[in-house]
Amino acid sequence: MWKYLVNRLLQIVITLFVFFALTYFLLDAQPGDITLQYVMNPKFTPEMRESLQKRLGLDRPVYERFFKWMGNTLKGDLGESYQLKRPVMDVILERAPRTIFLFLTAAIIQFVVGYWLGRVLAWERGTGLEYSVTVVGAALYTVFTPWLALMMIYLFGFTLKWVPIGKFLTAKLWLRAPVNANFIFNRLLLTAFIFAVVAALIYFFTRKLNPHKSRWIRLVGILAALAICVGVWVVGENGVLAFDILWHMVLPIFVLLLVSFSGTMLLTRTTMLDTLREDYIMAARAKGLPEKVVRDKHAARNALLPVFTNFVIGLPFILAGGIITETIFSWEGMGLTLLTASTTGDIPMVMGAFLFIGSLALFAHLFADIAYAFLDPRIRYS
Amino acid sequence: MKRNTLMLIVGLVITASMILAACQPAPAETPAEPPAVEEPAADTPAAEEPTAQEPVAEEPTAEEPVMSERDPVVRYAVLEDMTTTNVWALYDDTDSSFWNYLVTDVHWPSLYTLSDKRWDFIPMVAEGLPEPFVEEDGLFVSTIKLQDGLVWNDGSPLTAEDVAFTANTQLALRMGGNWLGQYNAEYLNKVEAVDDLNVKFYFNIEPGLSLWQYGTLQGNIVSSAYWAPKLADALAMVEGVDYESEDGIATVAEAIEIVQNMDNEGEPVFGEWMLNKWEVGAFSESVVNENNSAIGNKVEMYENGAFREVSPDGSYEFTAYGEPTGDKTLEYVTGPFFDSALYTVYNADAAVLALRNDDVDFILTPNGISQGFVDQLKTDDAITITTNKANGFRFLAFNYAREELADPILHQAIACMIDLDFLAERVLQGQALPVYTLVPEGLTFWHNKNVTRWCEGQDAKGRMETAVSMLKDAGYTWEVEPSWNEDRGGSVNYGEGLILPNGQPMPEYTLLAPSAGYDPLRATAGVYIEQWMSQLGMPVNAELTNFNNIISAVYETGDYDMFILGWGLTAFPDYLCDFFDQVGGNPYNYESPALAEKCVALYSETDMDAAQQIAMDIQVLLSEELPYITLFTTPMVDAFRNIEFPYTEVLDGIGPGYYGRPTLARALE
Repeated sequence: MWKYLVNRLLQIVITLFVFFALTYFLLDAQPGDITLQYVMNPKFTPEMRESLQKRLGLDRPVYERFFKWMGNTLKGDLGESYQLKRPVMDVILERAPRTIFLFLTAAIIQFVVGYWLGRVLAWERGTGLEYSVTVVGAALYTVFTPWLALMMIYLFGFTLKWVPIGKFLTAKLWLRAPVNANFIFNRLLLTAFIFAVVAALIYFFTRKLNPHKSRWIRLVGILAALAICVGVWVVGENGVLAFDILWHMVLPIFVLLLVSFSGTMLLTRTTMLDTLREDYIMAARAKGLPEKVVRDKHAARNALLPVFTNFVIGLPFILAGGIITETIFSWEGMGLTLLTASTTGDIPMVMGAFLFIGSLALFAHLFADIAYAFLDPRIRYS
Repeated sequence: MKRNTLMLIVGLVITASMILAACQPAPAETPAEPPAVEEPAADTPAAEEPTAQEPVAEEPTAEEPVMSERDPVVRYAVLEDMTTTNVWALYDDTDSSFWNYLVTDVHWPSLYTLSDKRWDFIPMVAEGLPEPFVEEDGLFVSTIKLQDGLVWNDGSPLTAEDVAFTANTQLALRMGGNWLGQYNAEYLNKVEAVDDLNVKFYFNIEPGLSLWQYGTLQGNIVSSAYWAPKLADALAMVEGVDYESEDGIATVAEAIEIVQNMDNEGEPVFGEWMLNKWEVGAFSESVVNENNSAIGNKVEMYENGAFREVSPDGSYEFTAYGEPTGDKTLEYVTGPFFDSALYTVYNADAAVLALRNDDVDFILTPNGISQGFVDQLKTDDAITITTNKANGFRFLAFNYAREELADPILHQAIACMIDLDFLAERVLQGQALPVYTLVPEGLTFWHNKNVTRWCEGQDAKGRMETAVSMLKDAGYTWEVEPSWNEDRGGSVNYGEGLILPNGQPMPEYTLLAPSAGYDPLRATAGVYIEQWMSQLGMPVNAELTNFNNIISAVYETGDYDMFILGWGLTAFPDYLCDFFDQVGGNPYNYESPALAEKCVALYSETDMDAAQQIAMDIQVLLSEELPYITLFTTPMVDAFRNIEFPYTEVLDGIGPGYYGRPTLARALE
């Protein structure tokens, strides 16, 4: 196992190096550089452009700049954004939490809904329910997301006025707020993390109990943890700010759920249909186990593996956000920042963001491989 | 096995090289420590210490201008957040943007400014109009006196030292962008504070209007009490530096980076508004600076051209450009009439819905509201929609490095074929207005309506015949000459194989235009112009492409034939010369001794009327030589509700031209 881990880590180093080099050189290969956007000012002379290029170090050969960037990055310095005039790390720390919180929440919800529906569809194969849910899911999966999002804003934000029209906070409420939005986003992420750890512990310590008993303990335990988390925010001085953010998340999450749940649903359905043909399912039925137990404990558990892998591998890309979603919902996070940086040639900003995304993606792969061994006892690495 | 070993070795090598890269010493151009400088004097007067940007108590004191009770908030929807509030970055190349100036542009004063709507040159913190230059020791010197009693929002006095410090900082750092236009080290030698109220400017040459009235005198002024101690180290770094050498450039670049990345919390500001809160990516709020001296001032503009501004208590009065008598064209009292201005970030669709939903009062965009949104907004009677002409134009330009495209007769023939009225009204469905000269009609003082308008008023047949005749006279011939076909209501039989006066066939050329996704108007115009050129027998293909590709081809590689782009313009038309720089060269390779001569005169002219005449002459010259064929401009549409302004008819509109002018906005009764 250790040898495997070392090998994988070395592979990650090589892959990251290739990824960074490719990204850097591709970005540099775009026509012009960041100074090109100022040439439309007639007073911006070629000499001034040259001087600005020197100031930004853009007069140096691309390989020299790349290795300098690599060296600085390994020292923990991601450089400064040309556009925002701030350290790239600061920008990422400022914008990543709001993107992660929105898209992670949406990803988890769509995973839970998709997995649950996929399980039901496989079990209800051939029924009207399967056909109707599959058709609706496929239709939503292929719908043009910006159009759907705008329709949702028009319907729920403008016509019914149930939810806000874009943004992640209500400006009037935050004018006299003692903290900024990032503080709240970070605390919300911390709360979610603590809740996840508690839920995992509850699951871990109840896994060997009688299924009937453990089910109730888990339900009560998780509800209690949830109540405590919510209670802490309610009694805290910033609760209203946190709930304002959550209120603004409702519509984006709903839209993300609509357009993406069917991916997980159809994958779960397919893998579960394969699983249902396995001999051990027949054996479970032959033993006289209740259908629910056969479905949930024998079929669904085994069908989870590829679905879970797909979910874990997709998680790091949450950091990049959804450019379309962030744009339409005026949710200024990493997606919009990356888009602007890419189109203006703000290489340090793009590389900084890709550094995190690339590293997290590779480590997520590693994590998924390791998790395999725990989820499927047949898998062993040597 | 072999593969794994290879992977292991390559991985170890890369890891080792990364560690080595990380451990390498800092590059030589990165100085370890900036040179030590003297600490700011310990006995700095307390009054000069900046305080936090807390809103001043709402109860005005006896000395403060008394305003009637204000409404709580004017709400703007903005489509992008600002990127910085650091004044040194804001007015350099990289951070000068509409979105940054929306909130911050009023923070820093200038000696002079331009009046609302008519753009008269008037004082902001100076007293009276500037006096002519005098020569002193080979330098051209002018002394400007500041108004007495002006203060920053923290109560500290605004002095001549602030002006001198700002200008000398730029002269030392030599930043680009607006800073360079304001204090250009090539011409401005130094600036000295004579006393608290008088500041002396020393120029190497006698500056013309563009350098002086429309440059230095409209330059930003920052608080020296706040910035001098903060910038001391950075300024010490560039002391005595050689601006031409590699090391010097690197040192200056580092100093600029330090200055532009500095935190500016608590910086004193001067304008009517000051930033109170900025929630990055969401909103920003400005509140009233009660110490601003212009609050409550009455402004009058007269039909005879006179301008008058007077404070409520009569302690300040400025009159210029004639006797303030007769009919007034504009009269208003300077606000703010709201306690705060709130700028919330939306995307364009959400901003329109927010305006319709009464969540915001005004949508701010640099190019006005697009026609699709205007149609939606028109359905709501509570929303006011105003339309104004833009101070800018779209144009067709040629690469004079292509010998065949350097012929003005060819340009004139093409201009003749391009039916601007048809293009604007029929093709672009009234979304554009034809433009015949580089100075828009709205700039009445500078606009020359007597430029040559090629084939204006002629029908398609007349245009074709005139263009063919012009080309024939210049020696062009065709394999198949264009002709008029009377069938089916009349159309042009396309010419084929245009032959140049030297007997060579006209090569095939590409016309670059932005794609429809970026600008449908220019894309459509590009396709029509391609057809008009083809009618003349010119082998031209319109290539609708990414905007950056055009910019790169024109300004970087120079590998292009023709293109369509656009310009936004300034109040002073020195752009007539900047576009076609005859000294440093221009991206079109256009050379004109006549223009060069007139531009020298325009740049150095100090008299407004003489400059006007030169600008008029240049417009005539350019309409004959046609390095640009001006095409059209677009209307600037603003939409707002719940508020009103003393005027809405103004070049560029209230939103794009005046950042929504929160100072003059009043709540509707």
